Amino acid sequence: MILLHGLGGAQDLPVPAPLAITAGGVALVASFVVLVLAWRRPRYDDRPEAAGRSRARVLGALDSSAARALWRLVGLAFFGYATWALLAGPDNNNNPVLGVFYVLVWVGVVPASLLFGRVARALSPVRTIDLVLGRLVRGHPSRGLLAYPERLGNWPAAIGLFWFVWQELVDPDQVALATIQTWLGVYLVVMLLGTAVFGEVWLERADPFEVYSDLLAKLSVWGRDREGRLLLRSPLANLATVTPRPGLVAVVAVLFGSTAFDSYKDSLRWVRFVDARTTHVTWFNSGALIVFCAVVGVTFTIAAHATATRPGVPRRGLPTAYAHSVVPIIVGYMTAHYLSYFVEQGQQTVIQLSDPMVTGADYLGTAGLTPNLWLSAHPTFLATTKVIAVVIGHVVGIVAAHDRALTLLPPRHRVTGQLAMVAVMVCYTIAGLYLLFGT
Amino acid sequence: MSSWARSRLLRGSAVLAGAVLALSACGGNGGSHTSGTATPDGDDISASPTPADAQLPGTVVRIRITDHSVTPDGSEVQATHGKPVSLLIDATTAGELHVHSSPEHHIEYPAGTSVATLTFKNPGVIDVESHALDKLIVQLEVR
Repeated sequence: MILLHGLGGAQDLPVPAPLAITAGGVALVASFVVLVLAWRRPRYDDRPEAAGRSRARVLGALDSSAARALWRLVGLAFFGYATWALLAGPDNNNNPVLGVFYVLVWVGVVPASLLFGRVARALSPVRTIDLVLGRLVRGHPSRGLLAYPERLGNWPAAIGLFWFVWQELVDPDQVALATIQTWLGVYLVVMLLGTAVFGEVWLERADPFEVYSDLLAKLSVWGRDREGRLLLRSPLANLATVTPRPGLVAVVAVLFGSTAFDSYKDSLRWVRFVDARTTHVTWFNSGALIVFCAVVGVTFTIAAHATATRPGVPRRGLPTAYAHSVVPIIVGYMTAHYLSYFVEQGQQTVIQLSDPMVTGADYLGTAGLTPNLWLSAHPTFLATTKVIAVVIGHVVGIVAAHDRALTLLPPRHRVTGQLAMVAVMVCYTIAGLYLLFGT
Repeated sequence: MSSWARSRLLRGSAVLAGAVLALSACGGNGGSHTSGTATPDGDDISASPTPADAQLPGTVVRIRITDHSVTPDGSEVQATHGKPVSLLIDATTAGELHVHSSPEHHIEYPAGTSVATLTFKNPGVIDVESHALDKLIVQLEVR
């Protein structure tokens, strides 16, 4: 098997400079407009359930136990099919499991969660296995031996996500089947052990895929009321209901930092640097990945701290209280970074899925299709879409942070208290645009 | 771009018909060195010993590869989609280049001078790497 250092396939052309600069300007102006002119009372906080009652019956059907069971079966079937390719398929580029793991699951979770809500939770084979095991062995599927420690929060998920991006972006053996087998094996064991000890709450807070998907689902129209019933609501109101837990900042820092590193590592500057090294290349890449994630986490934490607060609002809780507002920025940047990759590699994966053993089979009837490379053939459209995604993500992020600031900050510091947060978000967006523009 | 998958999934036009990249032999005739294979979509991947660079079509990239080094080592070259890019290779030993287009292509070259001509159907940034040295040679910015 021939592997170079993870560089492969045509990449998008850099975004043209005028487009990137215009986008940066729009982001900057929009930020100050929101800061100075937007509403003065929280619109999304303190209104946990406001909409969707009239549609409750339809939503109830969508959320019925029959529908849930159907999704569990779909998830399990897909997992089984992919596992078959993972364990019995050939260790080469035509094995669909690579595309399933890195494209359909990892990138696909973003559009799927934005459109349909908490997809990982609905499809997760781990949750299904746990449900079955729980019913058979424990009798109480949702309860564990111990209470989940609050201080653990989302930290296990942040670690899991970091482990995933490390494998995807740094591990020299990223495409070897053994690597994916190991990752999935360890993931399954840790998840099932965790649920045995802490119950279902472990999956909700510690499963990297569920935490990621649940977070993205908060930007969808699918919300939940206090009783857990499905309802439709505005994505911004939905976003404000993200539960601030310890480790949430680490989760968003890993997601944003790793995507930025993915852009940076393909730049000529970094490739030349790494090519000039004969040893320790993995260490340099690992170090850079950690630095990217740490820069996001640290700058965000500092920006959140840089304000006066209302009495009774502890300062150290501020970064977590604001963390949800980075999610739109992440989504905007991920759209820019992965759009053509997801559309084109995703099609390729669906084609390969028809022939999981690479024997010339056509189980799904997709083997004869060819990927549509329209996006790559229209670089101006692609670049414009990417930049618009970044700007929309930025504006939504600023609005979410503004709304939260109104709850957290004393009226006197309503504007000044937001300055650092706005500044750091503008920096994220400009840095993202700079990476898209080409380094 | 997420790295690995581009290198894996879009490799080999056997699975990706639509001729995104067309490589053609340039000059080499009479059964000299012919590596690579004709693929179902009509791509012909080959390199041939031809020093006659005066008539090389399109953008010309001169590449010199020894057992330990390659020049250029990571430079950016502008090219146009639909127009040929000629790689003029001067190598001390035979080897292989990886062209990270969609689909990917591998070009085997002989010791001595040879030419590979590539035509890219779509715009994009395409890395050309030395397999043995595991190093970037040129990054083609195809517009």
